[in-house]
Amino acid sequence: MSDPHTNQNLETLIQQYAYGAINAEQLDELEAVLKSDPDARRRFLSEMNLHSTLDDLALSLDSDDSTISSIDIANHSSLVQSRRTKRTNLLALLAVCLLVVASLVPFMKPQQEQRVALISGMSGSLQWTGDGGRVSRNVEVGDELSGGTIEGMTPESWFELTFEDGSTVSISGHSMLTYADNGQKVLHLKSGSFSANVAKQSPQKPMLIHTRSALFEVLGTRLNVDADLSSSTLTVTEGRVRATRRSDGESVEVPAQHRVIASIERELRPEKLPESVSQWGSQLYHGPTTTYGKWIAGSEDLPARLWAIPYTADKETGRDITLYTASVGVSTGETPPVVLPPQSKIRIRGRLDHPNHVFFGLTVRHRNGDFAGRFQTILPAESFTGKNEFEVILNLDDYSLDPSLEFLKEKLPKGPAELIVESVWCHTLFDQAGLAITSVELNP
Amino acid sequence: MDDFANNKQNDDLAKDQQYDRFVSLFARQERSIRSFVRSLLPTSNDADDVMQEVGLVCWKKFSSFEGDESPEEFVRWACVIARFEVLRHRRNFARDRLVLSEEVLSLLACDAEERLPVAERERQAVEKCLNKLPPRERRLLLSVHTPGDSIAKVAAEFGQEVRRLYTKVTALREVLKQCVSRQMAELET
Repeated sequence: MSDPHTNQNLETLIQQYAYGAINAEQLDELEAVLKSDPDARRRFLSEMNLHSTLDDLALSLDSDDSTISSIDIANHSSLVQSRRTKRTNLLALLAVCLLVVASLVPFMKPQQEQRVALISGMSGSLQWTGDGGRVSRNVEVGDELSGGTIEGMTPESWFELTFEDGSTVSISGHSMLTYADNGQKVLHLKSGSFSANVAKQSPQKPMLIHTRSALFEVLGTRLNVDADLSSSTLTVTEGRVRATRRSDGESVEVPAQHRVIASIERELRPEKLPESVSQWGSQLYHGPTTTYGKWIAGSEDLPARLWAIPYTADKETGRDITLYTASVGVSTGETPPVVLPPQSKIRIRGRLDHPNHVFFGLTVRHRNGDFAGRFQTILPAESFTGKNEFEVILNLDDYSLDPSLEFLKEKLPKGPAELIVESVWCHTLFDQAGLAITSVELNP
Repeated sequence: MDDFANNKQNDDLAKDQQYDRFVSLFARQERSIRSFVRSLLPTSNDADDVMQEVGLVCWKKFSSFEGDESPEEFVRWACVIARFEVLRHRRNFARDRLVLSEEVLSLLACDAEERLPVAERERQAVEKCLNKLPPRERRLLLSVHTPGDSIAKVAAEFGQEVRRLYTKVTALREVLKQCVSRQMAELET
């Protein structure tokens, strides 16, 4: 780092980071330098220490300091006072918390609920509701859970649960799964999709998977289930599953590499898994099927649109932020799986009322149904200036692993190529920028 | 008083003493620990959030702290806890924010633990150097670190160009850093 230009560049990167203004490209650059250069790390820590000290000293700034006389002193000092109070009260708050926690510990112990499963992987926003209706968004990998309901709050949510016998189930996207294990595993998929890798179960107590339209009995297998209000699609990768349609009680055995669609509109019959395709186009004009967002029908002048809708993570998670997200399901339900060759292009058309950074992403899974990651790219606000309508064409190389899945990067593929595309999504952060999707095309 | 009551009283006394000792150490060293945390996180608010967790975890684990009353040992011990809390916090917000990877944060945390004494000297030097600036310039430099204040706001109040004040803040930071370097060099000789 002796080159003056490089030094200057490093300093700029550090400043951008310290002021929360760094972009993805700059962050990659900063990361690479910090990883390889101990001297750069020393400079980084020194700069951040300077920031920290100035933060502290800013708090102790005398509000009577009227050297800039025209400043709105009253407003300024109340804000400073507020933050100073926050910091100086930290210890007092800590002391009170400790005393309260100590005194309440005997009463706070939950009733001895049976822990039935462990969270073995997760990312994105999730909500868990346990027995007795306790709701928590503060779940973490390694937490042991009693029976309850887990809900993916946005299209980017993902969660994997491991039962004591090693069986795993995972939900992806905006899905809702209730599970229990009182000697027999019972799952209710309210909506969305989930995959499971089920260890051998007792023939007397198979795993039961309920949806609105079907019941699946599983003795040991890999499978995927997609459910909506009127139909459920079961895809079996390994083993056999008995599927029963609720409306008439009819049931069939579904062998490996087959699927069945439980719906009143069609015969309940196992069929071989369809060949994958590499081309796909959204059909938003048909309605909001497997979408997430606010759907508006098309008119003579305007195509159908899917507006991004807000989701605010609350303070319990430490992330008091709002995402405005729209998502289109791709390989869901009855449609053949869409697998993208490496040279594929993704074309997204839509509109944005105000220029803003937009995150474009793909959620993908392996052919056996296992979660394979979320990949995203961020286009800066400058890409959307000039007019409200936009068309974005992305290569698969443009996408990189979502940073929140970095802890899994050794296990996940490097990119989305040759994997089944589960959904295409986009979002803006913090600001309601009026983001909407009008069409998505995946082309080989 | 029977044995049970005596034992309980002794236990309570020991807990009180341990609590007093913890609060005293934490209060004295909070600034150093926070500075360590802030060095690894992109915003002051992140550091505040993590510090609350650090305080609670330190107390929960205080019985395992085997050091004496030396502030350095306590800070070092607390910073190990803080490192894990920073990484945990990072996992929570990494989904939606641009943040350094766990690998790089871990490297930085190791380096930061080694340079704790240097960081403390740097802080003292910054304070000293800041006091040497004229009040008006000090106020401008601190405006970017004060909630509710900003260079843009100062510029609007002054009727000056934001760009010009940014340039001035950058120059003031440089002056401050050169002063800190001199101070540090003096301390080392």
